[in-house]
Amino acid sequence: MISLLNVSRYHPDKAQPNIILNNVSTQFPRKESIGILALSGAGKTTLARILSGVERPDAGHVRHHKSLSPPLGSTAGFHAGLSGAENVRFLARLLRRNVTETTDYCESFADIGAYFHRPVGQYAPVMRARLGFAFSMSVEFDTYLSDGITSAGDHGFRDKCEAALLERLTRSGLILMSRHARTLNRFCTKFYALHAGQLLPCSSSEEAQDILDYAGGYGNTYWNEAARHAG
Amino acid sequence: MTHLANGAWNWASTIHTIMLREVRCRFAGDPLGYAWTFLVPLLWIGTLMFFFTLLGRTPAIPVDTPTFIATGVVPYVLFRYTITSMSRVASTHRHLVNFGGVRVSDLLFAAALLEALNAIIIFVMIWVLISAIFGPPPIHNPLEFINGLLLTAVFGAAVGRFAAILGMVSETAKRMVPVVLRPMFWISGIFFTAPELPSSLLPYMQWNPLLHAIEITRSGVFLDYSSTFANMAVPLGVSAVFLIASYVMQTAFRRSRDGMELT
Repeated sequence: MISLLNVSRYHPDKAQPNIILNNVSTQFPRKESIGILALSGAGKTTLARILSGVERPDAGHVRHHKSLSPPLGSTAGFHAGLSGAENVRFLARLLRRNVTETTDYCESFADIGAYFHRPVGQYAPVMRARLGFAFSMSVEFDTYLSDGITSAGDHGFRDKCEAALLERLTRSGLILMSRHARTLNRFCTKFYALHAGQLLPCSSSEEAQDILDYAGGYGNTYWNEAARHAG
Repeated sequence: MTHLANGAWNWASTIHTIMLREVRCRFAGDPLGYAWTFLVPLLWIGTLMFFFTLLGRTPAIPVDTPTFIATGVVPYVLFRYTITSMSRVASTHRHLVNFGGVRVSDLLFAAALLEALNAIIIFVMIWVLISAIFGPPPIHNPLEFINGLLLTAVFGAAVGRFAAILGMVSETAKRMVPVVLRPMFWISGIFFTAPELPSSLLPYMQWNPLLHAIEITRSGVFLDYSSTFANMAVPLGVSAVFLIASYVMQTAFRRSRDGMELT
């Protein structure tokens, strides 16, 4: 279970703080697929960082279990000077997973041939993305965290990624943040809308979309003002 | 107890992995790779020996020039490398905070430990080289020698921690750190001893912790040299000030420029 208790997070701004989360309390069960719909700039990345424990909230508490994945498909942990194989080995060691099994899985899944043993700096962006997603799938977690990414690479590889993710979700949970209701529909069973610092539970992704549409997108200041007054 | 032991084992494993990654990353793509870490101090010693010969200078104490210079260069390299390494890991490996509960403090600790191990290897290499050419130089008081190096390591780690945290919250400060540290090469006794300094400078130089550490190191190595200048309270005291300042800064700022937690 991942729990947020009275969590608030603001981004400092010269005029007035930009509210990302405003006194949010909720719980995400360990093996459930949660979809959070939000507009660009609403704070999806910040929420993902808070959930993963990389970033602490300005107020409130977050409790998360140990088996929560790094952001799905992330390539940030790869060092350009190391080969794909070396990068995978180091990350597997940090996550205390079997190094050989993880490396073999990544080599097979990413399917980038001899490049797997060449420095990541020489990779095309698509190859890097393939390796990033392969690493995410190589490690079993109770809950996967995604900042909008559910696949990577070219068209054929995207299908492979989505199939692997859907298969994994038969035994793991997912917290997926996206600005596309359709993406959430494909992978999630419970939905929230993130707007004006509030996580609003919804019965469907369509309802979440309606809330964001009603709020008026980027230009609407009503919800922001209301949140500020509440805060 | 088992939980505690598991935690300690996991932490040690994390530190070990970060150290290995740093070794592989530091000179990635260079044909000589990590060997540069050990070659650069040897080149420094060679360059300083060249200038000693050129200027007809001999050490103030009756010892051979290479050993004299080595006892200054090794602590200086330990000090300087520790600061550079701790500042670099904070940015090079910062994305590891997404993996396995790695914290900024772990990155900094791993860097400091790696540099201490490097200094031991550098010292052994130099000792073997000097032994092969001039015969084995005896270490008069090994404990005092180790004490000198330990003080240098602690001082380097304290300043390194301060510089790394400062660099994470301010880009300007990050650029200023190497500039501010540059004079340390000239004022820390690498190619002179404290008694050689003009008496008018001594009141100022006594505040240089690295000079004290190098004097203690030399007192430990050379039979005929016992520094009356050296006082281990200076490097320890200044290190404590830098360490406390780094923790205060960490607590005050909480996050780096890119939003990373400074824990």
